Amino acid sequence: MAIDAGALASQMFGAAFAVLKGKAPSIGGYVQGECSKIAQTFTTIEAGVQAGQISHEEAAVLLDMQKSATRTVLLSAEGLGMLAVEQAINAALDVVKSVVNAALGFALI
Amino acid sequence: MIVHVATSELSRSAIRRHARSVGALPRRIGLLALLAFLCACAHVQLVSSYDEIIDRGTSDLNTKIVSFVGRMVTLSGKPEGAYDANATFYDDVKGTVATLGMRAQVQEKNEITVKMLQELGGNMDRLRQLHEMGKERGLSKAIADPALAAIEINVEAIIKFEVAKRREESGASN
Repeated sequence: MAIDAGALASQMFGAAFAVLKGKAPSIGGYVQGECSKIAQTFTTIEAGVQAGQISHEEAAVLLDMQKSATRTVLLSAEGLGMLAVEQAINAALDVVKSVVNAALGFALI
Repeated sequence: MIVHVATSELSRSAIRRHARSVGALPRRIGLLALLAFLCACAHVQLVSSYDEIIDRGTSDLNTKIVSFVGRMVTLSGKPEGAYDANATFYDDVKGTVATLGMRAQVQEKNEITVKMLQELGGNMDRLRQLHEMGKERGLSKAIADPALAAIEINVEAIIKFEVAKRREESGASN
C-alpha cells in the first residue's frame, strides 16, 4: 500500500490538534483561577493599608510577593503548554508509525 | 508505415511509463526511510521527567510553612512570635528550597521548575523580611494572609507542573 503524504499530514495534524485542543482549556482555567486569587489578595492588601494594619513598606513587599506568584503561575502555564506540545508531537509520530507499518505490511517500527 | 509509427510511439510511451515508475521507487523508499527515521526519533521529550522528591519535598515544605505562619499569627504581639525567636525556621526553609533547587538543576530540561523554586525562595525571603519589619508585633494576620496566599500559589504551581509530568509519562506509556 502506497503512502499518501497529504492524507498522512492530515492524520498527523488531527492527532496533534486533538491533544492541544484537549489540554488548552485546563491550562487556561488554571491561569484564570490563580489570577483571580492574586487579584483578590490585592484587594486584601488595599483594605489592610486603608485600615492602617499594613504600612506602605509592608505593602510594597507584599506587592512583590504577588508579582512573584504571578510569574510562577505563568511559568507553570508555560511548562504545562510544553507538556501539551510534547504530547501532541508524540501523538503525530504515533500516526506515522502506524501508517508506515501498514504500508509495509509488517511491524517495522 | 502508419502502423509502424504507431507501434513505435506506443513503445516510447511504455518506456517513459516504466522510467517514471522506476524513478518513483527510490522516492517511495526515501519517504518510508524518512518516516521510519521520524519514528525512530520518537518519543520526543521537551521537559524533564517527574521527580517524586521535588513533588513530595515541596508538599512537605508547604505543610511546614502553613503551620508556621498559623502559629506566628496566634503568637502575634507575644515575645514568642517575634522574628528573633523564630529566625531558625527561615534558615531551615532556605536550606530545603536550595536543596530542591539543586536537585531540579541537575536534571535536563528542567529550567521551569528551577525558576519556580527560585521564586518560592524569593517569597520566603520576603516573608522573613515582613516578620523582621513587624518587630515585637511579629507577624500579624493582616500581613500573614496575603503573604501566605502568594507562597501557596508558588507551591501549588510547582506541584501542579510536577504532577502533570507524571500524568504525561503514564499517558505516554499507555
